[in-house]
Amino acid sequence: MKSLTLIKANVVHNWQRSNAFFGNNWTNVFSTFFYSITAVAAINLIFASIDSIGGLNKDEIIYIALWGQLGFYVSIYVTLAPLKALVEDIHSGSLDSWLIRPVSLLSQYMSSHTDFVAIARDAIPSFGVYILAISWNNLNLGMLDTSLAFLFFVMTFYITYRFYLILASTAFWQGEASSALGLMWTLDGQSLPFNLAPNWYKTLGYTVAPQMLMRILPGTYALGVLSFWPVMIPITIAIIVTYILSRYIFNKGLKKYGSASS
Amino acid sequence: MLPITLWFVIAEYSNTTIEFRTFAAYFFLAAGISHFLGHVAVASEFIKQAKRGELNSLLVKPVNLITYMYGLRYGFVIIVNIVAIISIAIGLILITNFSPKIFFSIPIAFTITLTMNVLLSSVAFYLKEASGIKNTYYHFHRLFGGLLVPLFFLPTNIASIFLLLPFAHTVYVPTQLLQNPSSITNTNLITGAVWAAVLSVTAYAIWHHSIKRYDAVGT
Repeated sequence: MKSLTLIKANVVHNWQRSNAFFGNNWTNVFSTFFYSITAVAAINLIFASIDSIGGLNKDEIIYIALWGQLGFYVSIYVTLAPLKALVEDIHSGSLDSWLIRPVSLLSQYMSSHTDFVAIARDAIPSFGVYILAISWNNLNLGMLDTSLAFLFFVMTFYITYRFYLILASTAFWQGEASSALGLMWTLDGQSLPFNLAPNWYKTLGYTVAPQMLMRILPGTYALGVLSFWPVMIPITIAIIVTYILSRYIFNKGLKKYGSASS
Repeated sequence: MLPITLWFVIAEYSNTTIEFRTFAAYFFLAAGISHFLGHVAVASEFIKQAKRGELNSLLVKPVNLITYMYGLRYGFVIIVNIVAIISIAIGLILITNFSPKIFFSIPIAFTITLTMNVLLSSVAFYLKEASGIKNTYYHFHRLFGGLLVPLFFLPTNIASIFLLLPFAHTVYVPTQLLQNPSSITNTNLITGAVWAAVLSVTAYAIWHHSIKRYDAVGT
């Protein structure tokens, strides 16, 4: 119950903090909005010269890109922002003040640094561009495939979060991990259909760049071109491995930090 | 590598006959040239310093702000330049069809990139946070400059319109002069030169107006 109260307080505080500078953030809205326009324009320009890619039409590619945008905003604002704050606090030593409180450290960072206002502010106009660009009649979407696509979205998000927690935990030893977290920007993937991606791309996605999975796998699955088990099995294995590894490394790092700072 | 993967997939699975090697060479060269010229790096650094309020301490020193920012960029971000040179080298190994016109095109590309950086930096004198505008410019630069889709892949009428804009002269034109020079006409080069001249005059005027205004208000 205490944790819930704390999470609620953090969310409210975060909301107020983001709104306090809302005017300054309008240029970000323009930036993401125009990014979406140029991305959709690029897909349209490519399809001015071709009819389909691997049997998928223009609207299906934009649909995959729409899921990719959702993946991008969730990775940046729900995964990266809290972990960056964690790394900064390890670096500056401010983590001490949280260690003496009876709260779950990761819940604390997730709830206080997930920028819901930024997600709403930046993502909604961007999604609008993609949604308006799609001729929905050209898509053949089933309820089951779409629901499973959401399940895979959550699962790939969890792998991404756990994987980047491992990278963030290296700050306990090195004092810094911002560059390692920057990998999320460098390897953020492309709007290509997952079933057509080369094997090395998929291998990277399942191992060291899970955000690449998150960007393209759910959208491709929703189109009904992937089978369930060949997707479910490697994702489940990746979840188990990243969970065990991240838990072990984070706890070991935390102990090291605690013993050094006490 | 990631944009090249997308084009590999398009080359492999679409109903068009495009040669993957041409696209791979194009993207290595375009990315290398764009990184070497600095994209919007100078404006980024300038906007960051303006936001932190660090410009005042620079303005009282006898340094040229733009030269200083370029010094920061080329002096300290050596790794970016090394990666850019490697990228250009790979592109040239894949396909080389060099034209001497490149020696005319590179100064144009550099001038347009510099003036756009100056114009974007000038925004920082007026707005507290100008990075959104800089990012917006960057997205247009990627699309119209040919970093997302090579202009030779576009329908001819659309490519001709893009070639009338300044963006294409910073990336696409120099890249093609190293890869497929016959696709770039003298008219294209003259268009680039006119843009470079017009933008230089505009950037000079706006920069000096902005810096005077900043000096008067900010001191």
